[in-house]
Amino acid sequence: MRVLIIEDDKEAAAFIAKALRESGHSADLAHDGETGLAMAQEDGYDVLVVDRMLPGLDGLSIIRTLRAEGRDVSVLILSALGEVDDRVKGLKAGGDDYLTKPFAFSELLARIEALGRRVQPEEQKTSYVVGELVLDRLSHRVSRGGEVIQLQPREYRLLEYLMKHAGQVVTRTMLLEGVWDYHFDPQTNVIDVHISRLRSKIDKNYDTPLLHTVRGAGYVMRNGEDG
Amino acid sequence: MFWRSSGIRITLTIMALFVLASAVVVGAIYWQTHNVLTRRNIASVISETQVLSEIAARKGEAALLAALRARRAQSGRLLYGLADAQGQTIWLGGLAQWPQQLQRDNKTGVFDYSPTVVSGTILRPTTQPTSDTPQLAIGATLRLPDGARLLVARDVTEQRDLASTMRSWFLGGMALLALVAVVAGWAINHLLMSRLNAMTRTVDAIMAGNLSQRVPLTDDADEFDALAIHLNGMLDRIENLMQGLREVSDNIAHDLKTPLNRLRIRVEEALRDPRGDVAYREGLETTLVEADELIRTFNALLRVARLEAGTLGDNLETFDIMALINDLAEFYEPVAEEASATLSVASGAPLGFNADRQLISQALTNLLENALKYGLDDTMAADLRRIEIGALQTASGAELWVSDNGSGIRQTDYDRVLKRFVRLDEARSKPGTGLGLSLVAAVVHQHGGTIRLADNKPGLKVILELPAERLSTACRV
Repeated sequence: MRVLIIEDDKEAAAFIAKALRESGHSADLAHDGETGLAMAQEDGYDVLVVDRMLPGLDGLSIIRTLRAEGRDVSVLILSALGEVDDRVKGLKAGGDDYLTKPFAFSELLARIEALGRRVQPEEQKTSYVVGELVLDRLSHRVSRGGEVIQLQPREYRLLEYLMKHAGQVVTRTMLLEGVWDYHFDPQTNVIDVHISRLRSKIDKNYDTPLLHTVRGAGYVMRNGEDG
Repeated sequence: MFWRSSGIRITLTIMALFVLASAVVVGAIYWQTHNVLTRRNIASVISETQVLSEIAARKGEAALLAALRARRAQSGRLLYGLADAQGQTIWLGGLAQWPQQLQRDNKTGVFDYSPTVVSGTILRPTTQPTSDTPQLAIGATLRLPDGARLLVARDVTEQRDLASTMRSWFLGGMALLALVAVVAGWAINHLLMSRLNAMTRTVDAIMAGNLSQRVPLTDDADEFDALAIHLNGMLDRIENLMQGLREVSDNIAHDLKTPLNRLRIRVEEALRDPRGDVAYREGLETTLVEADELIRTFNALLRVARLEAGTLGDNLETFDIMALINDLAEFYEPVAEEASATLSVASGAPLGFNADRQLISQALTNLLENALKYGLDDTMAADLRRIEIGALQTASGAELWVSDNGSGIRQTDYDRVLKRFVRLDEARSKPGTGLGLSLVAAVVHQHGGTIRLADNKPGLKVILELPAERLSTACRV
């Protein structure tokens, strides 16, 4: 995946770029708004990581300009401003996701990968399949190896989100936002509890686990180790 | 200094306008009256000249002179004169000299003259002036048929004196008005300044750093008091904000320095550890965990500070509070179950709210998490441990509450736990920032409500009382 990082904190940007390269992506850097916009306009990027406050042109203006030009590249906004208002403003300007500083790199990586995948036509799928687990989005039926699994509505949505991002790490915050639409930071392990409930339904009685915990990052849906 | 005062300026301006207006009115009346009188005098002397001219035409000059004498003797106000065709004065009645202004025929005019008492002879005037002060008269001349010139005049000294008396009274009045203006201006100014000075002194004291100063009120309940009440309200708000800001910086100093210091010690410890790489790795891992905890605390602190400083923004939306409560209960129910407790929603009818949905849900989340963390009594049988969340409409608005039946907290600690970073001893062993309830309180205050802690017998019940204006009859269920 080609990622462009527009961020004026050179040290942070270099760290993100290095870590992205180590995760198998290519990363370019821009340290001010104008350069960033010019590079973004050259196309070829799957995801832009844009800091909100930049010297010259600010992050939201870059996004508005790109959207006005009809470019639909995925954009992740990075910001020190973390209130709900700020988030809403960022998404309204045309951002696809919003991450508040400071953040864990695993969180950023998971979100970048989720955004990169987003452009693929997987969105239109009527069913998701991971190994022998099948989720039918039309009938809302879930089965594994032909056996129907009964899920609560919220468990279904959690599984749907995980399977949509199958093969990618999904963080707890992403689940909180994507499944429950909550934008706060729970102090309890509530997400883990929901995951373990789901796991007991889809994995417990089977030999191969499909829902894996990624230490220090989140969860991933994957059939075995090959992904 | 005196002229800089707006009280003085306003008073003087009004007085000046008043004086000007009266001057115009009085002046106009004076001028008009003067004109009418003058015109009437002219008309009367002209008609007198015509009567006399007729006498002269019919009965000759001797008869005219007799008539002049008789008329002069009758009225001291009327003055007469007769001159021959060459302009030589023949006779003068009442005036010492033929007036300069009326040396020609058929002319009218105002002139000064010296009055005489004795009438003159036919050929030569032998009159003596009676006084040195010249008198004023209005006169007219007429050329008689035989070429002689007749003068008839009327003394208007009295009219002039009256006018000058009026003038002096008028000027005196104006002077008095001006004096009143100055005195009134000074008095009004003094009155205004004494009120304003009180405010200025307060503001000065506040600028000097004494934020607790307030503008004094009087018993008058006038506009100044209304202004003072508003100013005091504003000062209360500012003081609260400053207080909040000061608390935040104190918090940063005390409560964030401690974990930072701990972090530093961990790093030092790891570096000194003889095991080398393994110790470094362990040290970095714990450092990361502690850094995350620090960030979490910092975010929460900023959030509370921002909430306390701000007013309810434009994020108000209309929603059903029961639906929100059900969602949250569903979200946390598995956690309760994991902890062998029941989380239930007290049944209630849909209740429309007009509030910041995100903030209300954040507040309820904090209460639920608190109940889950601290409200479960480990010694109690699993099926008896319960947490309840609910909402109901009250006479004054609405109440949202979360209750548990754990060990509760002492009543003496109710106020204390709402403060930032206050963690009761029982809670210190568990993770947490000590900001959860502060945030709830901030959210509730922002919505114009109050937070109340109560004994759930056993356990703790936290009640959020929200005012009626936060209720909405229209809501999307």
